[in-house]
Amino acid sequence: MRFCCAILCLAAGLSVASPKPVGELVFKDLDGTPCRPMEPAGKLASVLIFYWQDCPISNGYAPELNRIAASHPNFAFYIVQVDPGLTPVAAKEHARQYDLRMPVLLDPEHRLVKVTKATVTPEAVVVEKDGQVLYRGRIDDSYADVGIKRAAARRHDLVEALDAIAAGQPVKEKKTQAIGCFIQ
Amino acid sequence: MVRHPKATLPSSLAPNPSRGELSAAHDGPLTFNRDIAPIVFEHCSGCHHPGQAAPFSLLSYSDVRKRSKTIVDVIQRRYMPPWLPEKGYGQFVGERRLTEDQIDLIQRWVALGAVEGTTADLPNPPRFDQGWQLGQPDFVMTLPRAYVLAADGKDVYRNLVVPVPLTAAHYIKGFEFHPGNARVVHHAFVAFDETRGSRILADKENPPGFDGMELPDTAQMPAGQLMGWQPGKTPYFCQPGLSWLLRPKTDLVLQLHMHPSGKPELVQPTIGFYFTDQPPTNSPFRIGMRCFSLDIPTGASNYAVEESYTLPVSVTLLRVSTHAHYLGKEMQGYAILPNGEKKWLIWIRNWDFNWQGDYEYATPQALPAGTRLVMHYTYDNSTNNIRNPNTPPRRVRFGLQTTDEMGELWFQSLTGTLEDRERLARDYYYYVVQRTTAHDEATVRLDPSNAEAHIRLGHNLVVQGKFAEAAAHLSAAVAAEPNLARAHYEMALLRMATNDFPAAHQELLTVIRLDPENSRAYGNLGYVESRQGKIAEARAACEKALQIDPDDSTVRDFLSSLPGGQKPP
Repeated sequence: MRFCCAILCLAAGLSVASPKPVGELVFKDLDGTPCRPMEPAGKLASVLIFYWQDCPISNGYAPELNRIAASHPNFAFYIVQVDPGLTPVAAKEHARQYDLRMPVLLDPEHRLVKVTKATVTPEAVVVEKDGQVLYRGRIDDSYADVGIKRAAARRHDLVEALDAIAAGQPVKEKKTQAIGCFIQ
Repeated sequence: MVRHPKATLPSSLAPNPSRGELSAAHDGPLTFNRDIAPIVFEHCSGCHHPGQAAPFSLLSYSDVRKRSKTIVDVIQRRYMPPWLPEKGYGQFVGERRLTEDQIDLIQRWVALGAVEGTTADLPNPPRFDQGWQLGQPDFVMTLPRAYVLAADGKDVYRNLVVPVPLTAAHYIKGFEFHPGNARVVHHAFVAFDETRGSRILADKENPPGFDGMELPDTAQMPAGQLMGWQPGKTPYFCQPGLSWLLRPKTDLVLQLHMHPSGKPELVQPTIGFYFTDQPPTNSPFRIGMRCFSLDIPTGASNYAVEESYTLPVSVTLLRVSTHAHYLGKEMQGYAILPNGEKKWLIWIRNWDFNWQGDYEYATPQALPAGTRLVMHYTYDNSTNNIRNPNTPPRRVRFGLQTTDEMGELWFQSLTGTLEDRERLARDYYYYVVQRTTAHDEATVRLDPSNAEAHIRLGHNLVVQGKFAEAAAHLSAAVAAEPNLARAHYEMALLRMATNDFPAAHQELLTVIRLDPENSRAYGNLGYVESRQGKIAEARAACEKALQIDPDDSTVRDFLSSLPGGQKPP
């Protein structure tokens, strides 16, 4: 009986975690190319990096994000800018300055923020085809808190998650706490 | 383990702004325009405006509103505004900390929905002159070339050496430092080198500068000043009567601590000097306590050290500055007065290397002769210390590298009379010699082949007239590192002090063989040869010294005093 309930609860949980319309969310990147970030066609999963263009912690990760994207070509990476006041022109200039080598999406209405329940920038959310979240949280553990940074990261949580997914293994730590600027 | 963001209020607890509670001081709900803007403008906007250190502006309702959760988080943790000294343990000029009431007010305003309020309530936003805060300086120098900071990687400590292009000496009453890229320069030390010591180091390494936290002894902050810069710091002005002389042909030495930002950054500092006609009527004296004996065991979470210095004369303290690296935890600086009373001079409860600075006392602190200045610091070398540069932690000792540790407490002091200043300088000098000697003796006991420690011991023993002991240490230094020019140079000075000119001559030739551009070795060679009666050789050596360093007035004067010499034009 208890077993049965567990299955029912799990099923209910899944239906909440993967609302049907997510795949229909269409965004244009800064070049005008339409993207379906919640529907990573042809890739193992989407990696959404929630980003605030003047959050110094977000920007500090720009080179590391490029490295991770380059070493994980089976994943579709997106920078999701969450500042409602960010114009496409300013976003383009920002992407140029920080040399962001992945599509940049503007999410002024926080549609992706809401559907993925992202709370902080920078925060990574790895989403499978059916909208299921495989990993959510920090990129690595460089920051213990805002202003409290390690000399070097000890854990590379996002990379560990992507490597597990690529190897067909379950992600060990599905959820970590991202540190940075609160999305609001 | 998921940590819940502290600033997020469960929606059920967040009151409806339209039914908001009343603030204590005013009728009506808390509003940005009336209650919050004055705090933000006074405590945040100074750095949070375009061109300054902070990553975004806080100048308007919308600026603050869209970051309100983050703002509440960082002010509750007192990460912002950055201000390390504890309230009530020394009162300083330009204190940026918020009061408990202000933090509470901002937090309640956000919880109540961050209402804007009526325009009539909004004070005028602060106006920031993009140029100089204190008016046009008398003399401005910008570093000729920008330093290029890489997009990421570790923090960079870079020393830039640039000649000050002044043609005449000027008394300086103040300066304003513009980092040239405030977003990445986290703090700076401003020093001057009247010799070529820093420039030679820079030329050897990576002109126009060199890396690391160590400056040569010849790079000094002038006349007992403490010249640091950190974001938000008001420009540096000396107290009246404490100007200092900036001579032509001096090198400016800027030590910059920079954080990579995620993109390549150009850093090109500018410094503006303010002249005065008034020569100094008094000269500050820098009193520093430094702990050389730091030896922090692996895993120690509360390692404590204490240093003290007893004042031989009465002084007034003008400024204080503390220093440690990433293991530093708590810093206490206080005075034990002759009557036993304890007087706090600074307390930093949670040291943060990134926000180190110097602090000017709101009221100068008068201390009578016989007062004992005490520095009491603790360190955390465990894994609990997030900033621990070593993973896993390892034993850490005194040293200048970021993975070493330091403990320093500096005061800028003023004496009542020049005689008192002389007494203080003499007494303090012997205190420093005694402390460094104790440290170096401990070092060579552990590591008998440590040439640097032997050299320092030899040097300090020569100063104290203990020639035989000095010779033993310098011989040990030469034995440990036969090709270390400094060991031979100190040995030469010892031989000169004992009038053993043939031996001194031999050592100086060795120095020149090892370090052919050492102008001081040539200058001393000239002196030694003159004492040996070899005037022509002496002249040639002095000329060679001047060829390397044309600004060495000691050598120039000595050369012109030699028989057959001509007075300089």
